[in-house]
Amino acid sequence: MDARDQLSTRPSFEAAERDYLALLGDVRATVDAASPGLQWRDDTASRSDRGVCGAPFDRVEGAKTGIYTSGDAVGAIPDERWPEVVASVTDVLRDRGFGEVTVLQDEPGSHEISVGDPATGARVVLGTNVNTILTLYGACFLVEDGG
Amino acid sequence: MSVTWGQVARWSGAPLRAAEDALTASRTELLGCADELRTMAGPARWAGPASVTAGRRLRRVTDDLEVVIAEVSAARRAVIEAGDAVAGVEHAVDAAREFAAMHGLVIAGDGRVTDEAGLGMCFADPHDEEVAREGRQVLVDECVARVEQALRTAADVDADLVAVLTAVRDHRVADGSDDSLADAARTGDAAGHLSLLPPPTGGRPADNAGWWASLSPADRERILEEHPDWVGGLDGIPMDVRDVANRTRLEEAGDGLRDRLDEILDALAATPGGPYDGRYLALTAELGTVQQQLAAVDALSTILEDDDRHLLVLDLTAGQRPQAVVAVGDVSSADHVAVFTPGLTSTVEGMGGYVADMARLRAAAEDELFRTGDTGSVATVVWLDYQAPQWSSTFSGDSVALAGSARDGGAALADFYRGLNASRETDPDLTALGHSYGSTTTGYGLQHEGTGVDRAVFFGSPGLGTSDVDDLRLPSERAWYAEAKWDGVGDLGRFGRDPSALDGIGHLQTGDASVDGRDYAGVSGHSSYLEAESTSQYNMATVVAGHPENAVEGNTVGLTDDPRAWSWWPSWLGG
Repeated sequence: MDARDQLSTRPSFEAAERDYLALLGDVRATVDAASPGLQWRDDTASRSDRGVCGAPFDRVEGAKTGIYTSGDAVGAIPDERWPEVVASVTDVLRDRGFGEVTVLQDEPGSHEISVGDPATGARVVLGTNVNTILTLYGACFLVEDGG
Repeated sequence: MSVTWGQVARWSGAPLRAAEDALTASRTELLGCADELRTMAGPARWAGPASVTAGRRLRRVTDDLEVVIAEVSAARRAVIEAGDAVAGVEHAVDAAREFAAMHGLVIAGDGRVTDEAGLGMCFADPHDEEVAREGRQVLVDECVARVEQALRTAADVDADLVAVLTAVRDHRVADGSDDSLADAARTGDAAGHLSLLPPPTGGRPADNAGWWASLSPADRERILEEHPDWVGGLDGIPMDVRDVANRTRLEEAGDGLRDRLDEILDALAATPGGPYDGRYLALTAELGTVQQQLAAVDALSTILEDDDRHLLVLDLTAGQRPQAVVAVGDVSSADHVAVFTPGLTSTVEGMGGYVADMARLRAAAEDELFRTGDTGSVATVVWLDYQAPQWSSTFSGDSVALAGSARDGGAALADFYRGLNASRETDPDLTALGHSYGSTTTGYGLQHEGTGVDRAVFFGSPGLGTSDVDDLRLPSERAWYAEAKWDGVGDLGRFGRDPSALDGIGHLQTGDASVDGRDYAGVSGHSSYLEAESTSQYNMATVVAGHPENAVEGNTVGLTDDPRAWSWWPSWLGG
């Protein structure tokens, strides 16, 4: 299957974006429930970047990828709450196809996980240290008006 | 008589604004005479010799009045534009003084610049002292350039204003042949325009920055509208200005190329010739060039549709492959800037993948900064303003086996770094990234003095154009190398010693890494260094974010590496 055919089996960029933003909202609510007190810098999740895809989709016309931020939060998730946060967040993500969990860092005061969707290569990164980040690196999709 | 710094430093636009007010009042009064002239034309049925004489006299008065109104309008226009230009010069003088004060320099009354602060510290390593001295010299040179360009602009304004006022004095503005007083006023307006001062010929980035700083906002706008080619690729010009200019140029180039493509296809259809027909062959060759350039224009247009992308260079010079530089993020204001130079087989048409890599690297670096309590912003750049070798050009001048493209590209890259710093009030924390043949280009670029680059990461490199890290004009311990397993290009040592075995360079881990509780995936081969969540990408993100101390160190040494890189290489054999 060539690159364009592969993308035609996926939802549109716009549909995927709606799903991603909703997912980030859910994950953020889950983090808040497990570890209250974070001060999110933005009210809602939003797209922080949209661009041409990387290989092998970099030359497919109308193919775009996005990076989405939950808004990021001032403040850390306390060490004692981190395991519960990870368990809740990975549950939410697993239901949406993000099942590949990689622990990037897990030491007192500094934690980070990356949870990937093996079908598309998208992944969610949740990390905390002085502050907390929650970012979704989207997969590649065809935009509705340019595919 | 040339204008001196002492004079320019006292320049003020106030007298010009007063003159503008007086001339505007005179012009309004003169234009108001149009109604009186109509009334003076006399009764409609007045005939006879007296009427003819009166009419002739009235025309003479009107012609004289047209000349006067044209002259007043010319003087007024020149005074308005000179006022704007003087404001630009005043601003340039203030900016030069501020720059000098910020960096411990002094501008004397005659415009000479001296370094009062000096290095201000002692250095244990002579190389570091040398690099620091070069850095100070860059500051002195930039200040000198600011002074020189302010004087150049001032002299131009002075000469232009004198030329217009001399024409007014000598009654060379108009000859009374205009159809009305309003037309005469327009003639005068046109004659009173001051010229646009072009950038300094062969100017260095600091000269170009000084020139731009000395222009009035009105002149800058005119340049963007009338001469975007002056500034689109000019190092030292603010990057947001270059982006605006290059977007205009890109659109114009696309229109022109599409028109030319249609013409060529029509001409080919009408040319029955074959391989022995000179015109047919010329058209076919041009068709290839136009198609290649159009593919580059289309690829860039697609990239620029996206959020926060900026076109910093567009070079469609005939006879070479298209060149371009694209930024992700605001290079004019970002705290941290990374400039990535790709290598073999890189083309503008295929630049999108690199831009995607740089977008992710930027996000990763910004996330890392925020997570650890820093507040900095990051911008990343894909720099392809050189003839990156292609497999198809293996046996030509820009062959991957030769250093020519890397050496020439390195000189251009050094100017890009310098221009990036000169175009901003405060220098960003600047990291150079170079991959494959692009690492060789980066290596040559960093052998030039005064680039302002703070640190460099090379990866998958066939050599840095030197076997001595001190040839890179970077402070000690600011250069790193990353090489993945099964990356044969990284073992070639074609352009200087294999960096895996280079003394004085740090080594970044590219394999699976688990350090301090952090697990990252390894990469292999020549083209995976920027893969998301890889050790290699993480390392680059930490270096770009200005925290190389958080990078994971490690030298991936294989059997094909220079033996001096092997950990068991006996030291008595020399390094």
